[in-house]
Amino acid sequence: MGKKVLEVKDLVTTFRIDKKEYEVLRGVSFDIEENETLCMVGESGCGKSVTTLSIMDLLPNNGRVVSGSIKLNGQELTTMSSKERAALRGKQMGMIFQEPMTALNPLLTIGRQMTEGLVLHQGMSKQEAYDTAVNYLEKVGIANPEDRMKQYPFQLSGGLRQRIMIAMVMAVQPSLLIADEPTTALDVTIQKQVLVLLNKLKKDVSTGILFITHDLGVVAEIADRVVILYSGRKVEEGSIEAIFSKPLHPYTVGLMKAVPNVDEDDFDIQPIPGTFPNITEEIGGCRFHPRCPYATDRCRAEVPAEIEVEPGHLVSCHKVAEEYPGKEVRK
Amino acid sequence: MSEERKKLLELKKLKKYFPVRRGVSIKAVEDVTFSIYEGEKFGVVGESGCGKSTLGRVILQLYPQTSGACIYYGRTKDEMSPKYQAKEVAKLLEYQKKAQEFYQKSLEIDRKAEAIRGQVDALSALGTDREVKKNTSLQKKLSELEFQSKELRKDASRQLREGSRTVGSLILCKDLPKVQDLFRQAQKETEAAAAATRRFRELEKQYEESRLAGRNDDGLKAKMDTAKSEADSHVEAARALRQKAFQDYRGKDILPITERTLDPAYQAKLDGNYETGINLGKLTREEMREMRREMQMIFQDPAASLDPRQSVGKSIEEVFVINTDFPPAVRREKTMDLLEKVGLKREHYWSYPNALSGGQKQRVGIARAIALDTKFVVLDESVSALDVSVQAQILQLLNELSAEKHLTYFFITHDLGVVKHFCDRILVMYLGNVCELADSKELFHNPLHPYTESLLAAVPRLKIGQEHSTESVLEGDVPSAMNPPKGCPFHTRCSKCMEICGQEKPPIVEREPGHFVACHLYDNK
Amino acid sequence: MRRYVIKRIALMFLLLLGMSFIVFASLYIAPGDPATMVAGPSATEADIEIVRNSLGLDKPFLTQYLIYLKKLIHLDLGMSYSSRQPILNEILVRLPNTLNLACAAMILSVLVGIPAGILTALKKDTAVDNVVTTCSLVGISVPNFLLGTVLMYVFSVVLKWLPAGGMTHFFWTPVGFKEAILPAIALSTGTIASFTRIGRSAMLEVLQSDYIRTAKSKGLKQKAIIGVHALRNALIPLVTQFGTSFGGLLGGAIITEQVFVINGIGTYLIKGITNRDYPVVQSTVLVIAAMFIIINLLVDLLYCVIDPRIKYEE
Repeated sequence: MGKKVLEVKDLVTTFRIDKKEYEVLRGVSFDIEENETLCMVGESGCGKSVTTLSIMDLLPNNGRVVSGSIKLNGQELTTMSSKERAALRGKQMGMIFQEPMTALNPLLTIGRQMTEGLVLHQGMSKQEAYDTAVNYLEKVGIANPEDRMKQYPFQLSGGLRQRIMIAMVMAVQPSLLIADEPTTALDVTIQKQVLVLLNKLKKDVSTGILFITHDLGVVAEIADRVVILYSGRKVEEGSIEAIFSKPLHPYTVGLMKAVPNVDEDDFDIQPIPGTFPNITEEIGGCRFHPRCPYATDRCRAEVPAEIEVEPGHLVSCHKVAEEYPGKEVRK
Repeated sequence: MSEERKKLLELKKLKKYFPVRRGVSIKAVEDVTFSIYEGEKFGVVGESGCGKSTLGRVILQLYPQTSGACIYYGRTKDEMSPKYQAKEVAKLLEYQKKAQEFYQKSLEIDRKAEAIRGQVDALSALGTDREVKKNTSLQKKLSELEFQSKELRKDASRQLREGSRTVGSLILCKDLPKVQDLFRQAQKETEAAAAATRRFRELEKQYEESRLAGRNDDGLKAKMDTAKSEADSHVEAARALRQKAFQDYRGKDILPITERTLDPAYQAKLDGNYETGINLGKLTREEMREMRREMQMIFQDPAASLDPRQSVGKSIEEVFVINTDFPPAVRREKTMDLLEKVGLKREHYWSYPNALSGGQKQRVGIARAIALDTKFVVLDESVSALDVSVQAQILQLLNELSAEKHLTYFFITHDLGVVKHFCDRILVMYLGNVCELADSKELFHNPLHPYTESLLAAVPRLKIGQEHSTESVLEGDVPSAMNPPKGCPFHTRCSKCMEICGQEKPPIVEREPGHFVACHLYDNK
Repeated sequence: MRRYVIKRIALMFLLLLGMSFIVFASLYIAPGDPATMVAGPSATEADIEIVRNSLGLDKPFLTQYLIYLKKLIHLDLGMSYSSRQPILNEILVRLPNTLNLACAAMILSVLVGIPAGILTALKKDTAVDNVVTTCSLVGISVPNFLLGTVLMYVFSVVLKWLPAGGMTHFFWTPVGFKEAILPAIALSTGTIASFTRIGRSAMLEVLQSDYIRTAKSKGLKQKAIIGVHALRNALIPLVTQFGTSFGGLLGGAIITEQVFVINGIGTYLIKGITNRDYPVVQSTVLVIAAMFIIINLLVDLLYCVIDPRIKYEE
């Protein structure tokens, strides 16, 4: 058990649409330790991006965290002011996004964009910041770092830009790195480079990584633990071995069957019937029940409680609860 | 196994260059050669800049090809009577004559080169300084002449090749004028067949309408049958005339146009060039539009390919409006049927794209693509933008449709997992070039090309506990398509690069039945 | 980048040439006989013919145009029919006044319009946004002669704070400032409004972009995000607007000069039109067009400074 970098408990976030407030996150809880990669898996509308925005205090104007706690290195974030959280953002948290092509300001040099955070948060002088930036560009495997510092983003490829983003964020040496689908837009070979890089840097800087993705292959490649979200709720959590060898929640099982596995030879792609619920949709009980082959009346009425099937492997499902009676119910 | 399958499309040395500036162009597709068979799900993988999207678009003639041919066998020349056929038949004599001219010129140049070679030999025998200088300038002239001669020979071959597309090895015959006559007559028959087919289609439409109105017009049906049999008989006549030409003249009185023309192997090669299908690049715009009834495309971004200001029903109906004369009631019926077929509800006819999810929008795109008598569909990353579970649903739908309507798919993607389990055969491309082509399972079990190996190594594996090797990580970025590396395009990043790789492009060889690879490692077949 | 600059300059000359042709041709086609004008009301047929001959008005169209062009290259704008003075001198006397007014109005527009645009973007959908947007709507709608007259009445006639017209000094001097402020306000309301609108939409679009999200996620201060990251990108459409607006200001100056009795080329132009003094009209229009084209060339060159992508286009 290492030191806990991030502790999220019962996070509830809402969005206001057309004067009504809708819950997007309905009480999500998870922890991340230093030097650990937690993958958050789910599809559109499950709330994974909203989780990251809630943690970073980057929700749009119509979103807000209603209740729950977010602790970064033991400090409670939800009670802080915007300014305090902004300061924390640059210093102890870093985030990289999905689209490397648009994530950098086209009119400013790489050097400028890399050093401004360092000067602001670490109190470095311009020279110190420059040296640190060059150092990290080297660490992410970019040749001729000093030349790159003078260049503009449009002169570089997508893979390079993503690496610069990683360097930019890691240079601050954050405790927590949030990566929101950083490799989805990249080619497979570049993706591999980026994943290898992230793993290496994680060890160097002792960062905890919250990695959002919908690609189960990437999860297998990079995760230590996995959290699966569906429509604003956590349905399963566990170590990567547990989730891949013994998926329990019907949604997790469905996902495994729907994603074509490169290693298997005869794989029948089996879709999960139905579609995602809108955030505005009212669904009683377990939000997965309209698509679940095992749904019972209880599922339609009652939200399943979370049980710990094995140490570290948590599931929220009535059917599973029945198969594993008497297991610790985690609050 | 491949003998039974019927070819639907054949690509021969297809090239597509996009000119950027004087002397510089983006070489998006480079000498691509392969065939696609009816009913198969043909997958194309590669990374950004490999040219797979461009290739898809060139096949559909959304971009005109720079050189090479794309032959479509879904319809025969006789059914359609494309205009270029007549032109080609008219040019036959010209091809033969020009080939002769070019070759004769190259022989002249060869004689000149001989003379110079004599001079050079004499000079080197003397061996003084002044002679050496004169020697070098003569050497230069010599290599220039050699180059010219080679080019002229190539031009001669090209003329013969072009001609052979229409008549095979008959382009070499002394009696070419007689051959031309026969082909001209065949052409007339073809045109008559096409006219009859058009009449048939007209009548078919009227019959459809009357059937939907509830009447059962037997008179119309009879007229339809007459038209069809007329068309068929003309097609037969055309075929017979061509057969006659081949029977009477093949292999007889071959002219010695170039040094190869008397070689039976070369004649066989020219025969192999004979096109029975339709050369899509040579069709007029109107004719290609007619083809588009059968060849369609589904794009990557479902939102971007639908007009947001039109209901999805109208978007699908547009296909009927443009290509048919169906009255509104018939169109609406057919559109609603299509919506049901792709898993949507009939009521969705009135929905606007912004009300639909990504998966639903993509279904609309599919409906639009299969509206008419589609045979061939290019799917350009059509499921890449969808969530995993939705992707699975769409793939299932595509599978069902392919079986039901005998569709052939050209499935472009970067997702190796999907391509393995959805496609029958897979083509791997790099920087516009063909690397490897094999059955799906074969490709994954036995990758031959080093690039394929790197790709497979880079795919994140779902097996835990497997050593995630970092060795086969491919370093660097893809080189620019404006300045591709000399020789094999992959050699700059290839761990198994040899000296020849930087000089010569590897040819595509069939290493095992059905398994093609372009790599110098396999040169000695 | 050099190619970009050379292309732009070449284009400018081409435009000036085209402009001269259009100006010349349109006045050539216009009804009315210049010879009669010059000869005067008491002239006989013979007199008019002599005048026509001396002015070269009987030569073919293309010849007249080429003569005109040759004179232009020598900066000879011809003689005014009514005053019999070289037009070039008359324009040079009046041009500074117009430029004075136009520049004052432009500076005012930039100083008011751009911050207003940024402000309304930041405070989107609040009261501030609505107020400012409504004001700018009013600003575009109110014709500048009306506003000018009203301002003049209030500030010069009633309150007697500011002079009612005339222009003797440049606007950066104390006296010149008092003279220029009212006409500049009257002239610039439309331009302020367009800067506000474009600034607002450009800013809003920029604020949505991914690189702003990156900047925020780095914990940068709001001031830095807006001032450094956002502003530079939002400036690009504003710079375009700058060029277009300048043309509007030159045109509006014509009216405003009438209201405030400023002796600029606007008044000169109107006098020329009223007097059917064709050379004056021709030349003034040409000068105004030339100024507009040159300003736009400068705008194009300004892009190079702001947007590095243009510099490296090759």
